[in-house]
Amino acid sequence: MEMDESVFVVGQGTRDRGHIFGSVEGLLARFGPQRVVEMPISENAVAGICVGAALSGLRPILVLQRADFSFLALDQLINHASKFHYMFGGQTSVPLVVRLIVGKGWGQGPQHSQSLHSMFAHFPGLRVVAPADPHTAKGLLLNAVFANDPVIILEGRPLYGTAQVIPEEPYTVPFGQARGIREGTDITIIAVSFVVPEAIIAADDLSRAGLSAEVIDLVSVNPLDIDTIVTSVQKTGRLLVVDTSWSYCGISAEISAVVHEKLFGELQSPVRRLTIPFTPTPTAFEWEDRYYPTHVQIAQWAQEMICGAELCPTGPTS
Amino acid sequence: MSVNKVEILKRMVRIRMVELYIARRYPEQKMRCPTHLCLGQEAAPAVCGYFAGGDDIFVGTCRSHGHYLAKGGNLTALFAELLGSGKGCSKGLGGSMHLIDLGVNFWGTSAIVGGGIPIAAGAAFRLRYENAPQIVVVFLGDAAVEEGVVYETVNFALLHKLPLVFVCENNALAITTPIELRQCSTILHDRFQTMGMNSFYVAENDISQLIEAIRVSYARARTGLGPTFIEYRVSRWCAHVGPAFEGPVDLWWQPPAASGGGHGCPICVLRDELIAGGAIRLEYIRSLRQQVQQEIEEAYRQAESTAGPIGQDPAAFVYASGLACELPSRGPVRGIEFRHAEASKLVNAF
Repeated sequence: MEMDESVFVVGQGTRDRGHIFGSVEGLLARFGPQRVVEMPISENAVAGICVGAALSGLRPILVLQRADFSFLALDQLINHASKFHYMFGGQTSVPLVVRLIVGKGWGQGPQHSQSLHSMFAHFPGLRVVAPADPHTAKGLLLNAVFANDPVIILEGRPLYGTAQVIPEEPYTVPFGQARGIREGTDITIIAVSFVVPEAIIAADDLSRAGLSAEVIDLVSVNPLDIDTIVTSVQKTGRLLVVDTSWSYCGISAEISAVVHEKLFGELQSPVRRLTIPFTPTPTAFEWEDRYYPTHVQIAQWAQEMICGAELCPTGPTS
Repeated sequence: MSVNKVEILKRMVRIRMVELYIARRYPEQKMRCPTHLCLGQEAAPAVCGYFAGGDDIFVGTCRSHGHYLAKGGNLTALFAELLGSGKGCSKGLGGSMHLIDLGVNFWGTSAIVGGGIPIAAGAAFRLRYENAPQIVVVFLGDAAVEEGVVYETVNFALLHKLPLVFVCENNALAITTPIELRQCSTILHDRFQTMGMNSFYVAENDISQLIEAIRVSYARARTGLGPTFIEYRVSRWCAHVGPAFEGPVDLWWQPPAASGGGHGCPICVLRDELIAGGAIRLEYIRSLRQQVQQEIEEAYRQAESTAGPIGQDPAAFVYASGLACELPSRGPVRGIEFRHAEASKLVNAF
């Protein structure tokens, strides 16, 4: 916002002492009410107003406290923002950032915890990213703000507590780049958003059992970093995709399709997908606990894929 | 301020004739896109266009040939767009429902009922942000008032006192469904008054009242008094989509007796007023018709000569920028880049 006066933030709770989970803290005092706009609970109109402001040369950042609320804004985001550049023959562009916060835990339930990256990735004209670490989150946010296209950023609420030393000065991270977290030779584990930390723990568990897992944070849901994915799976021969959204028509299905198309003869085992079950999110504590993929499951599935269910040594997870 | 009603009549005639021309050539199947004509609904675009400056912004609907032309949109580029030509106003990628001419600040149209309304408010938000003197005019039909986004946008526009004029052309039809089957009240504007909206109701073909409503609404928006909602009753003389039409569409240039006293034709109503007041004579109407017909035929010929889709793969238009974006260097910000000179030139071209 300091770099470019055309950048402004719109959201619900910009004046609240929570400051949208701290993400807009201090902005009002610094940039004033014109650039830190409190929104009425009118997601579609506000999204459209952001589209119109973006067409005018402003760079709006729209924040919705729950990704689920974006369904109310889909007409503007999908029918308008994602298509204006195309349907007017490249004459207009919509430099709009939409930050969608994905809830998890404490009984967020069916309407406060949906991970919608797969759905948004379906539509040409949008960029869709889901960073899992502070360095990537900062770089992608800046890349998104100064892109001339609408960008959807899925922010996993459980990741807000992640601490990391990152550069203070501005930098960008391009779209379309997965983040290699650790190298391995037996299996590739691709994870998205708040299951990335689980995948890292699982890889530690596996290494204690003598198994070497390569862990990749997908980061960019549209476009996919196909090169990084294919190069890794070519090396390991196995792929486990772990996702916070449903497997059915989800990004894990797309990744699986791409890998099978490109590496059919080179796979040691079929691609597997560990995702949330195909139900809404349960609220009851015990059920919610079982709903999300854990490092224990990730390690188990990986071990089975590497060794075969029968042949597994006494596993790291037993 | 004196209003040049002859100029308004000319604009109405031009829109009528363009629409009739499209209707007649549409069956040749060279224009292959859903085409929503505005036959019978020429008055609001003409008056809105008359009072607008080149820097003011129009946002339209799927039925916006008239709005586009009224703002000064290029006629050849309109025809070319309908013909799917790469030289069309949207390079042939939008068609009749997605018209744009940024040179005259006609900012585009949406094929989603109500879709353009918050976008227009966003453009107005920018103007307010900059304390710019321009205004935004957004067109909508009666069916859009059934969409929640209208109420959401009205609320925002009032809250932020946006320089925005809602022009609702109420033809009482949603495709073919009459308004009585769709709305709790067939009068639309007054429901927004309870929200604090200044509003006007203009009866069908009351051109003088329409002129007054638009003049006042623009002035309010320009002086920081916020948005206005105008409801103007109209009759749509054509099918929802496609070239079929009925009614006294093409009698306006006949002597008043032959045109059956006008029978609800807005052009006839204004024509008769102007003839009665001595401002014009029937001969003027006829020479106007000839002149406009020539312009239309020439524009269509030109548009046809550019036929052929855009050569470039349209996939190039999905994204405006690449994967890696540059941070701006610290410094002054871009100002509003309206196309002042070009815009006024085109508006006055006719």
